[in-house]
Amino acid sequence: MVIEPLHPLEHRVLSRIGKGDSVEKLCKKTGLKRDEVMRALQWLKTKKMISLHEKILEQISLTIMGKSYVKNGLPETRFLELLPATMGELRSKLEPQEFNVSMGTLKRQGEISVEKGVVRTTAVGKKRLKLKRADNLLAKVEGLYYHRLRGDERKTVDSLKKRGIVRVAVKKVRTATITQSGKKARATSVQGVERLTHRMLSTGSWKDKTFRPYNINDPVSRVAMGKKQPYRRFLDELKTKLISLGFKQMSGPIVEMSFFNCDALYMPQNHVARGIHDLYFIEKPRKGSLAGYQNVVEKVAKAHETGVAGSTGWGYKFSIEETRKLILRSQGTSLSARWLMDKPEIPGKYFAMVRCFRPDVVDAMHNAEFFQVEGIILGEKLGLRDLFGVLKMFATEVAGIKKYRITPGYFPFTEPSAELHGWFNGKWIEIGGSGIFRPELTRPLGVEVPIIAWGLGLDRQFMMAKGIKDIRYLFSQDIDWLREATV
Amino acid sequence: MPTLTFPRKDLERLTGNSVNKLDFSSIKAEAAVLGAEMKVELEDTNRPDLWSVEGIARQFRKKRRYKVSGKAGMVDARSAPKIRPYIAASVVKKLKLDDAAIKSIMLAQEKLDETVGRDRKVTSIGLYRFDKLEMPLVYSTTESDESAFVPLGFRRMMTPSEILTEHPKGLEYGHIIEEGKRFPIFKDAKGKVLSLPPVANSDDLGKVGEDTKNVLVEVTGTDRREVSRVLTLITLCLADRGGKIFSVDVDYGDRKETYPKLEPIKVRVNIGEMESLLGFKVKELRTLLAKMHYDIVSSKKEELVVEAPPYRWDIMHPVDVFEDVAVAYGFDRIEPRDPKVATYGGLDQNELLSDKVREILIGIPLVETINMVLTNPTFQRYSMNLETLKLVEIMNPMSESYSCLRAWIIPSLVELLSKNTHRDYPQSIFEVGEVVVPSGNYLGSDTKLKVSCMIAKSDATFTEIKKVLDALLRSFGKKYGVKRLSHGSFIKGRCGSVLVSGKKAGFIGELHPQVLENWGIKVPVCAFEIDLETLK
Repeated sequence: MVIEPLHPLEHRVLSRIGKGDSVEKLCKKTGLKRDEVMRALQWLKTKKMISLHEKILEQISLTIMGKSYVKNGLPETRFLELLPATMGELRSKLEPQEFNVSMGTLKRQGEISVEKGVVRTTAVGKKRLKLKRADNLLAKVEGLYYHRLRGDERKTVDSLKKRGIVRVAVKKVRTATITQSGKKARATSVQGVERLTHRMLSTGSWKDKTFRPYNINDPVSRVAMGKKQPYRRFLDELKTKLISLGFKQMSGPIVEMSFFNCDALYMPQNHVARGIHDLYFIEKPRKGSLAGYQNVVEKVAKAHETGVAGSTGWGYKFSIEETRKLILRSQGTSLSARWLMDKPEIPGKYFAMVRCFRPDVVDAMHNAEFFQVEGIILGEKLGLRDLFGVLKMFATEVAGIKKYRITPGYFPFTEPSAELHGWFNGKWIEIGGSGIFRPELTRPLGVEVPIIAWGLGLDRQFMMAKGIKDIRYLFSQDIDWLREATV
Repeated sequence: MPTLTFPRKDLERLTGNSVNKLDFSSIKAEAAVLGAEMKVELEDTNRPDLWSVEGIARQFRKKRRYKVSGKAGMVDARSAPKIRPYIAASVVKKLKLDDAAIKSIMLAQEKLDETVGRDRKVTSIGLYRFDKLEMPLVYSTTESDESAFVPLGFRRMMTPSEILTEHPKGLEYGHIIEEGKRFPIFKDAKGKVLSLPPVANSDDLGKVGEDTKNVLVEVTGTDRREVSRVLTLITLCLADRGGKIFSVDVDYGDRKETYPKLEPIKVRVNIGEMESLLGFKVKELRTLLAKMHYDIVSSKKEELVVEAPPYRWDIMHPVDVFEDVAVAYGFDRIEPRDPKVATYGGLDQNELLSDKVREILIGIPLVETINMVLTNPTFQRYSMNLETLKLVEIMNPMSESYSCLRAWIIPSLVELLSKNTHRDYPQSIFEVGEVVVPSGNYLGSDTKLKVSCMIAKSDATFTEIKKVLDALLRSFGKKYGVKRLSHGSFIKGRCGSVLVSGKKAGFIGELHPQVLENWGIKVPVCAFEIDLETLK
């Protein structure tokens, strides 16, 4: 057997390793850094000089939110302790966040009832308050191992975890043990000259040296890279394509007024998508000012009430108070509304690529926050055939798909409306919605020509391309994914 | 988006066609057959006429012209309750309802109560055994402890206030009428109670079964137009099950109304405008209009006057007819055309600026991240060792994790580090992104673009992060200074305001150990955050 000289790191680790040493222990024994020890262990393992073992433990820890609750008590407990009380009293004694969250959760779980503005504890709520199970568990949970908990405690921990109050970290404990051949190598290992130095070169002493041959097949540690966030990279590529197709970019505020997000788009004020289940409303102030937009507000109100340009309108009394409500932008179309009011170029093409917000229950397919890509094309004599042309262009040029279809769609602000579907992995997937803006939308904003509007749902395509199954991963805080995702 | 589930056979019976032959995309729906059941998702939120098996079948059948066969009675609404002032009613006779038909009508009723009716607040529907009633009917009000009756599913007489506190529907819908001192009540001429609208029907009069031949339909509500529309929809559903429609008068004292209203909807269609908006000449226009249930009442060379069925309230403008024509023509037959619109593309100024910043930071090298703007005050303030920080909070959060908008990015980056304490260091990260700061402007806040950088490792120093800041500002040709600042998130004496061209641009510092302890981070962390505006 030819014994190759060992790398200095290998030598150092091998000469000090014992039985069942953890990485931390080896760091101490050798004085090496963690990644140096890890590297040496990997190399030694391929040479079968050591064996590696791994144990997996699930350890519970408090998040920052959890720590604050340990100190102050869970918000729903504090809420229950204040009962019975009027809504006004509760609002004055609790932070808005605590009030809103507790009110919703406790109502859902049937722990409180609200009658004539007075909130009372139900029997279920009283039981909970008496036991304070969650509070007591929370106080002692830090550092415990999940597998050692009782069944009901696990349930409580699961629900606390969902709410972001505790986290369960998978902890891998690695240990290494020297093998027989490792012991042999330790006895016989030799070291050659490691590095060519400045001194050897200036004195010529390199001529008498033998250099330790490297194992050029050894895996290397990873170099620290700067990198674009993978989803941002995808959006960058998309915006480059849109610019090459002649689109100018629009931008706008995250906190919007209902006027721009809904009313200017001819969404009736009683529309189902305008309630608390579809829009996030702002706590303070509740309403904005439309003083700078009076003229256009009047026109939009008229379009809703009695119609414009040959339309009957929605036929209800338009409320200025409703239109002033402050919300989080729920659709990128709010930017189109702003741009159309601001004397757009005709012909013109505009796009937006912005964060939008909807109070969805967060799961693998829905996130409370997401990016929307959409745009408009203004021009004389544009028609449905042109809309189809645009969809075809998106299918082939932007989404890069061969097989697509266009079907009738419905959006409150377009007529006709169409949907674009692409054929992926054996099924049709919706990749865009589109239509021609209704005259009730365009006329009040001062535009006389037809406008084609489109929105692309490219998240799913990105997820498929990257093999991502969970939409929350687009905002992933997993640093190794950010570092290692392929481009 | 309404979803309906019903027996496939029922739809086939009503259309006289196999479901495989029906083109659901023409009604903007997606249909799936699941054994004997069928599930249909309807996209058009403006077509409540389609939210029933009968409504879907109606669209796939030859047009049926609904007629009123006669008068069936009257409702006295002179003392109608102020909190729920409108009522409409009709009678459908000679029905032969089977189990499937009854289930489907109940389903339609539920859908309409829930959607158009906003959970019975705006409208609610009641069905009754017509043969047990004595005309005229009376819609008025009652004291909460009077007008007791046996509500659906119960066996004893209950007063309205008992129903509100004990009956499941009372608990669910009672709040709608709770605010009035007197409750709405619907009785017949003899004083028998039909219902406590919109909460509960009488168990005796309000239970429609297979043996019911003649049905009274009633809708009450707060919106006169919606009340009339919902009545029309339910009446037509029953008529589609083979019944004959009879009208009912409603007497409000100062005026009289007759329901159901079945007048067609008239629209003028300019052919030139239509062809321009569709982008092609429509040869078989008459056939297409007939297919979508339009009647042509007069025609000139350039203009048609058409009548749509009485339930097509979604038609507000001729463009709605244009779309129906295109759908009937078939979207798959329409040839795409490249729009002749020549324009120059370009990025937004802020996007250009962001791209430059990102390029420089990636080259340093830092890893780019994007984090959510939605967060919570605990992260933004408490975790960062801050007592006060003005935040834009959400009135209706779905969870405590997402209850406000971030006013600064650094907490997002610290959160990221806290999730990666088991990963290799150094961790050098950044984000260019939006924050929202309360202000006095017309939206109550400003959306600002910021850049934040963070270096975490066992030997991270202030100097190191300042080098990054220096590289960034030098690249933009900006002169800058750092002025001592006291900030709860940073170690005292290791934090400063960044001044660019004399103006406050942000801050830089080494994070306070309390912050690191809060987040369970075991290495020193240095960071800065500046406003992109200052790089312009």
